[in-house]
Amino acid sequence: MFLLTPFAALLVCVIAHVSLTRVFTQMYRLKVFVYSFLAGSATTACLTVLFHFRVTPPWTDTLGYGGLWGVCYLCLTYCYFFGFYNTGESARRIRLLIELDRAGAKGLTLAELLSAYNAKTIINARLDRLLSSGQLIEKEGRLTMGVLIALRIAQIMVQLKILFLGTESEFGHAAYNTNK
Amino acid sequence: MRPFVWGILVFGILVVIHLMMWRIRRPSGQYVGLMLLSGIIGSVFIGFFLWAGRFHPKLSLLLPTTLFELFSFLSLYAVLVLAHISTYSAIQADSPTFSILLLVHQTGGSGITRQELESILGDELLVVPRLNDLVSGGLAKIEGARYVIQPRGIMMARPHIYFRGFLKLEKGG
Repeated sequence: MFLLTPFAALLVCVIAHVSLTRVFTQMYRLKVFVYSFLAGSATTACLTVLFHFRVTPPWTDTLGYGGLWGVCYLCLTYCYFFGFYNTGESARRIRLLIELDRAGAKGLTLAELLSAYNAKTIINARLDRLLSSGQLIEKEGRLTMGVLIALRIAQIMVQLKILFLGTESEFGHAAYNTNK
Repeated sequence: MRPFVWGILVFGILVVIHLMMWRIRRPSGQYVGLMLLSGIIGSVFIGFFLWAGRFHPKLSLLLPTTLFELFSFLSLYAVLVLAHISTYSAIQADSPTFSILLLVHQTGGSGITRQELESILGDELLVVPRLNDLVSGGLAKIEGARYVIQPRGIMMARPHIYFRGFLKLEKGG
């Protein structure tokens, strides 16, 4: 039974996330995410303690399995939030598929697709999020940096791109040159 | 402790091999390739643990060999692989949010206007490549001048439509 600890914790996290999102519709999404994550973390901790007293392994094993379940839970919530929930929230491929699904068998031309979903829509949605979370500041029509957390993550992603793909961007190094 | 240590170690080996292989030559079906690679490495190590558990009792003291330990190792390795694949998809395609942040950062303190951003990040950078991904991945196809969703695309889109509807959320993107 204890083998399923991280999955049970994920279930608690998902139930908490769904319930909080449905009930507190105005609550900031990051807050909902943190509360849900904590509910699942508490489940992992409780089940690890229960494992220690029920199975009575040496403390090193309890720590080892507690660590293992903690990491498993962390990865599972990461997959749920970033691999599933966030793709529905912000992935362009999913949004394009949703538009095509609505069009049915007749499909859409590029122009029709772009009238429903285009670069301007994408940029405005991101700017709203970045401005409301303080990552960017808009002053007299110009956007400047605010809090640097998201920028640091973006810079890490660039380093990972260089490491795995050998380039800074999927479009090559000069794709986002502001001087062009 | 053994499943924990070995789970991390085998995952580390996977990441190093992934990195080396992709730098030499990236397969056309990147995600299938990555899943296949993960499966092969996981299977090789499970086989090694079972073999060592049976024929090398001394060596097996350092390895996960009981059913409980093997399952724990496998679940840790599997979820680490899932998280790695999720992260890789974010590495592979440029995120508009990160692109905006990097562009604003590049301007230093002077900043950038919305119009300037829109002129740099147009449909040809933000939308068309993702549409091409759908076609090359078999999720949609081009019929004449129209893009038509395919069964695999429906399978991918519908869970998101239902889930977001259940959460009472608007269309994402």
